[in-house]
Amino acid sequence: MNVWEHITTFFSVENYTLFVVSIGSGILCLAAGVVGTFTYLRKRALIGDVISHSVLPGVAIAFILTGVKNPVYFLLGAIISGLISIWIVDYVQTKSKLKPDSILALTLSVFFGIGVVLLTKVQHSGNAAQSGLDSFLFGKAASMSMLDVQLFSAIAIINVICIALFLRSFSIISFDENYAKGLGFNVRLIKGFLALLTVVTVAIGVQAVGVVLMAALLITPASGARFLTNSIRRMLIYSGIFGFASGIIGVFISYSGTGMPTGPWIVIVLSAFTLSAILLGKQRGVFARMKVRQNNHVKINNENVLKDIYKLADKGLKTITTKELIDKEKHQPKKLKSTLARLEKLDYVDLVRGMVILSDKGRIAAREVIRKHRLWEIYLSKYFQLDADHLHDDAEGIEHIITPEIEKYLIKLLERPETDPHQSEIPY
Amino acid sequence: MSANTIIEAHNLTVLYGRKPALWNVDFTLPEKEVIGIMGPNGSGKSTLLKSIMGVVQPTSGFTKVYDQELDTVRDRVSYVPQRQDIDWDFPASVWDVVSMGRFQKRGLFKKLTTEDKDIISESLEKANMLGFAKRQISQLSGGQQQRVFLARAIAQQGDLFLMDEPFAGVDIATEEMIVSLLKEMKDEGKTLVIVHHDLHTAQSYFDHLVLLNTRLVACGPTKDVFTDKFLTDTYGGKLTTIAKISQELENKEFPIRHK
Amino acid sequence: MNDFYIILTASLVAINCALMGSFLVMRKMVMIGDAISHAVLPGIFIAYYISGSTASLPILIGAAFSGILATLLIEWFTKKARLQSDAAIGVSYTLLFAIGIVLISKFGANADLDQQCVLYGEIEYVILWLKPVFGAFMLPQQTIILLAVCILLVVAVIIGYKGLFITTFDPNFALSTGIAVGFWHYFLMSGVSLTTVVSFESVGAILVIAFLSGPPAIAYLLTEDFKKMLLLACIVGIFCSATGYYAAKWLDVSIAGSISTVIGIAFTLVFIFTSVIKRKAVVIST
Repeated sequence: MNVWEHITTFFSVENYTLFVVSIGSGILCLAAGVVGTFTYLRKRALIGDVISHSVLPGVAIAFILTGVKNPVYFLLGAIISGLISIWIVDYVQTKSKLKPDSILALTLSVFFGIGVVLLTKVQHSGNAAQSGLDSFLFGKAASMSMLDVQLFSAIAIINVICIALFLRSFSIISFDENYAKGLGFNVRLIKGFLALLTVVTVAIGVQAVGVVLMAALLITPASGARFLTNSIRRMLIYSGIFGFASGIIGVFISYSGTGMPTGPWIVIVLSAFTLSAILLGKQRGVFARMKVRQNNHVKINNENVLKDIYKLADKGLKTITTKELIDKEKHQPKKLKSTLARLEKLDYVDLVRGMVILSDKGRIAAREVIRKHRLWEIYLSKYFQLDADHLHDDAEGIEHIITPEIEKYLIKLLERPETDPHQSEIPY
Repeated sequence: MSANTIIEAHNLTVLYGRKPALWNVDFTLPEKEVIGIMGPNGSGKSTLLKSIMGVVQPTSGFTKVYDQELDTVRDRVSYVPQRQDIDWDFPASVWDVVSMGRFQKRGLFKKLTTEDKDIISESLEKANMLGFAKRQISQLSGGQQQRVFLARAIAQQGDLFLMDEPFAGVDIATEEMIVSLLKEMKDEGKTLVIVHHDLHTAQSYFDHLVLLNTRLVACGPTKDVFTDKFLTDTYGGKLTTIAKISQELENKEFPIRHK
Repeated sequence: MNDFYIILTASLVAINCALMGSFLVMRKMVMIGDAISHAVLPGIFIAYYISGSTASLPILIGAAFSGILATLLIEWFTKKARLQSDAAIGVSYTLLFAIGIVLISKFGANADLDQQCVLYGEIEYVILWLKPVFGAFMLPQQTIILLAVCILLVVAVIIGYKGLFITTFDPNFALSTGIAVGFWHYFLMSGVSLTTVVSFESVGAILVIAFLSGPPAIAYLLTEDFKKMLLLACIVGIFCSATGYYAAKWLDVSIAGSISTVIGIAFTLVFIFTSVIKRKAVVIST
């Protein structure tokens, strides 16, 4: 079967189970991604891990008490034990000298241990109905029922609505709790509500991907989304999209292979999305930052060459050749050639048979660099104890970074000086 | 450099990420004096001590102690980190902490000798903490914690002491005790370099001052440096340009020097 | 005799984890231990798949390799990509764990590895592979390895005590006296990886974390002397192993789960005694 057939079979609605599973997983991951955005922003990624391990005892107790495999009871049990675990982490932290990381690790392993004890108790008691409990350990996305999908959708909708309604409150406590308190927000209530949303989402998600990987559903989409935008609103949207797409693609991949587990594939796809965002993000991405650094070097080279041409012209030279730039200003021939070619393209200079002529545009740009250089030298000599021979080197680096606003501020602070410490005129 | 120079910083630049914490700082400090390092919050005071002690690596430039690389004279230099830098709930006694001052001379793999133990006791005595030797550090007051740190530095038996905010958050009794201890140490011919932030006491505590605001504003004898002009330059907000440029350097990932 | 083997095995894991965990707790790095214990999975599997055996050496190498990979990944995320550190841990270890599970389900049909074993181990079965030691004693293979690692760690902690202590308590001061803080960091992390990997097969990831965090935390609440804390953590670990084992036998439940639960109970009692009751007493007396 080729890939296309895979895809068409996969998306044919006749293939009802698959349709249900993929939509269900997608919606679940969407809900987790949206709630997880706040988990991420509040720097509590590892709390997600604690909650997902901690739902296990609640589920087992719900089963022991009721004796039936009812997802609603399970959910209730899971939510209660998840909330207890959060409360314990906070309480122990305020009452003892233990640091958060120890408390998190201890809470998650002990809750999980209790869960495993109860689970094995149920298994060994020979109750035939117990088989479904295992799914809380490793997830059972592949056997999702229509009821599950309805439940997931309900949660996803509740999450999205609550977040839309309380976006401002949630954002502000993620930003700065004390500030929120000062503004009169009921921080405890908002935090509690957010915790409830998180626990409910985790309690449901654990059934699909299992305890270990649930933390990824919360935190991985937001980690990627953060690299694409600075706005919380957009972050929520991107996290949701990452989650939804990973849910569907993950199910598709695990369906294509034999014996492939769904949960781990969802997490792998999700991680792939996030890694791409981290690498390719427009502003914060790894590549974008490399590009910025490279552009800086281009800018520095351009400005240095322009400045030197201007200086030579200022000294009275009528015709300036590349040779002079190389000999007098110590430019590297190869680098100079490419820089000049770039400057010509930008209309800063004209190259005529080895001669370099500044255009008006180039002249303005060159004067700007020299002005910034000299302003900075004055600033340094006025406010800092710096030997005169140190001024120039320092200004060489900073002349390229001074923005128009900083320049304006400098001119005002220095009261529009006429000459620099070396008595050279400042070109305004 | 003159004969009695103890510390020399040359073109010292330290970047955290891309943001300069210290920027082209040049100075020399004289021997056998009490020297204050002052400047507003975030002006690089601690970073300066840390880079002299090799705790942070300079991005460019260097520092020399006794006109030599730090490594060759490290055993002559004692360092008192900021009190808040460590977890005072750590399960250790006062004695445990002060004995760390002897690790350097004795090595990490040898037992402390009776001589070491005598030195530790003496140091505790000097810092007025001998009665607390068996005390757990979690039970100490802020002032006592500071004195434990001082005792540890004394146990190192250096000639040069670098202290990061030894007066921060201590009670008046401790402050007076530390001041008289410093005087005693100066009389013994030690050199003391102290990060400090209280302008009121600066003139009475220090013979020599370094005013810092990411860059060096002034450095010299207190009477020359503790002037309205230099203090306004350091604290007066005229140097916001430095902060603005630092921000630009960080945001735009700009290289601070391009050569 | 079986009781003895299992308790001995669990106790050895407890001692190894207590020694390493005490330093992790004081360095606020327990969650890194958690991440490593999950992230070793793909390495274990790949080593198993290539070498085709459950022999311990290739498995150890594989696990150590992915342990290192996990720490490098976390470091890359935080330093180069500038992801906040908690998220970096979360993203890295879940990814590696997911890859491990996929590999096991795809190629591990005839492997002795399964998901259950990964999470809560199979200490019950250690007795299936008995080997003679010094010609006289019969000991389970796993237990022999754990014993060797235990001896190694005890020696390492005794010899390296001062270095580990000073770099944990005050790394800046340590640097200022010329101590190679980075060396001691990696020294400790190699110990943690080794512990995690050898303990993993017998008790599973979750009990490793319980042992790394629980007994040291309990000991930390009970004493204010770091040497005593190390010793006490070992004793608490052994006590919980024995109690947990008998409780599991009595209730007919998972041994690893039962030991974690006992650790939880022990912590709760100590926490109530030291932090809640004692503090109240202080409030009343003042």
